Amino acid sequence: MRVLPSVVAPLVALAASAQPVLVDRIAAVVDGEPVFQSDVERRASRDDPDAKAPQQRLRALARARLDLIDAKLIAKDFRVTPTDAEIDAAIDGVAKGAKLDRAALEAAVTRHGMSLAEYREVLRSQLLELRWLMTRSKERSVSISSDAEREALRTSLVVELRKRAVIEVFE
Amino acid sequence: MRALLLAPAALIGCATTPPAPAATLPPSTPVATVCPTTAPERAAFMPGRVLGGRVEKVCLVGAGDETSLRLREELAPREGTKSDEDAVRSDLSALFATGLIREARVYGDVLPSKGVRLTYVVVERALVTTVRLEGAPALTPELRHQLEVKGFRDTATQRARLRDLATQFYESQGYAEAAIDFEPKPVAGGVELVMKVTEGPRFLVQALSFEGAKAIAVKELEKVVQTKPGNPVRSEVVAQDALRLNDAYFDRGYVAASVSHARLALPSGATDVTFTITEGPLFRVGDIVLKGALTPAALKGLETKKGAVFSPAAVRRDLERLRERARKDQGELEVTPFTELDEQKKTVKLTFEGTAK
Repeated sequence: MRVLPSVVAPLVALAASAQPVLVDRIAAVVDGEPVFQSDVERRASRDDPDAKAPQQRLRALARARLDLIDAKLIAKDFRVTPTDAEIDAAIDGVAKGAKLDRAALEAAVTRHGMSLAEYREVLRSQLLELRWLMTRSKERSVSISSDAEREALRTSLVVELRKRAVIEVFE
Repeated sequence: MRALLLAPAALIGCATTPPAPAATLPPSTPVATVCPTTAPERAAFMPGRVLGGRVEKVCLVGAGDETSLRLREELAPREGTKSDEDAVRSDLSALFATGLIREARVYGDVLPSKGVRLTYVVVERALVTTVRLEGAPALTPELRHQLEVKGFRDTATQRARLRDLATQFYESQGYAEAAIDFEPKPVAGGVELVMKVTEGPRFLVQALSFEGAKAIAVKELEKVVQTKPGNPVRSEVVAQDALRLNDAYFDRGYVAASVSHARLALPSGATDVTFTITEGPLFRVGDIVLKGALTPAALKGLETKKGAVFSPAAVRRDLERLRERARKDQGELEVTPFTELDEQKKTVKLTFEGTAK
């Protein structure tokens, strides 16, 4: 390898540090509400932690973006946001299910690279979606007792919501 | 090596200030005062490299002079503050909310001073100078006038508004398969937005039939529905008609009746609409029970009688009577009706429960 002259080496270091990076961008807009790339990246890392190769990562990002769009559609369709107390109860429930105490669960969450605030938001979103699905299933007298039934109803509802919404996606 | 040295120099290039190669900048040169003129060709998503650093310069790239001025108003003065994710998001949201841009990204780089330069790169939405309709002979002149607007930014929301306006009209006129597409064509000063309409056949009701109707005369059922021969076929009206027919049967004691609907359309659009009715048995009133704060004397004045054909309309009137009577004798009462079907006896047991308000 060719050795750099001493006068050039510091400039290379300067160039490397000055290289611009993408800080954030609007990845999609759902009825005027932006979906940020930073959230898409976080979601992809959380849901597909093993998608490291470029093509895999791209697929994971596309999936994460779609999930976030759907989450926005659901939140707009069902405006009953779970309260902090309900999130706390859900955390206790998860801890109990995993046979952990609260502190151990929180430690496990942070070990997985998620802050507690992020974890609470994930649970809030999951709880909201669950309630939305239960409410809509009652309205339509549709059973959601199995995973397949739940998924089928969710898919058909989300398709309806997507049709009604104005969604823009930016590559 | 040259490539590595050129990349940052290109980024800090500015239309008004010729870029100085980074290698020749003396320490005191105010690099932060210049902005790039274009977006970086490739930049990895690595916010951690710049977030947390002190913002030294905020740049806006990609918009014309007039739009830039407007967008600048939306960018918070962040120079001297610590760069953070929420602030960046807030700025991106504010830029997008103007409706003037269709893309917004923010890049960051660390300046030789160790300060951070944030560069917002936007893509302006085209200005629609005219909307031109193609293939829409059925549109009324009034609606054409409403659609052929000009002087707005080409946003998804605006397109959706135009599409909805046209779709509502076509659905109301029976063009259930009308399709609308948009194609922007560059013209001086912006784009001409071509609204391409494929109207498809017009579906008109050719014949109306009520299969399975015995208890109620067809002539009467025809009055119940809003779908009429010669009118445009409207899916939502046909669906509502099925509910109206159901109510008509329910009100006549056929509480288990069900009505479905089907359409058979010819390629010309002429459509036969069929309501299929399963009437089920006629139900009569079984026992009538008064509970709670209601006194047995209240039974006397009721229109609903045991053995009579069950009529929800009569039950509704009886509810009012019970409330009125209670108001006079006992004060305000909440009266709730409960029904219980006996499939064997074909009766409906009625219970009225009164509770003090």
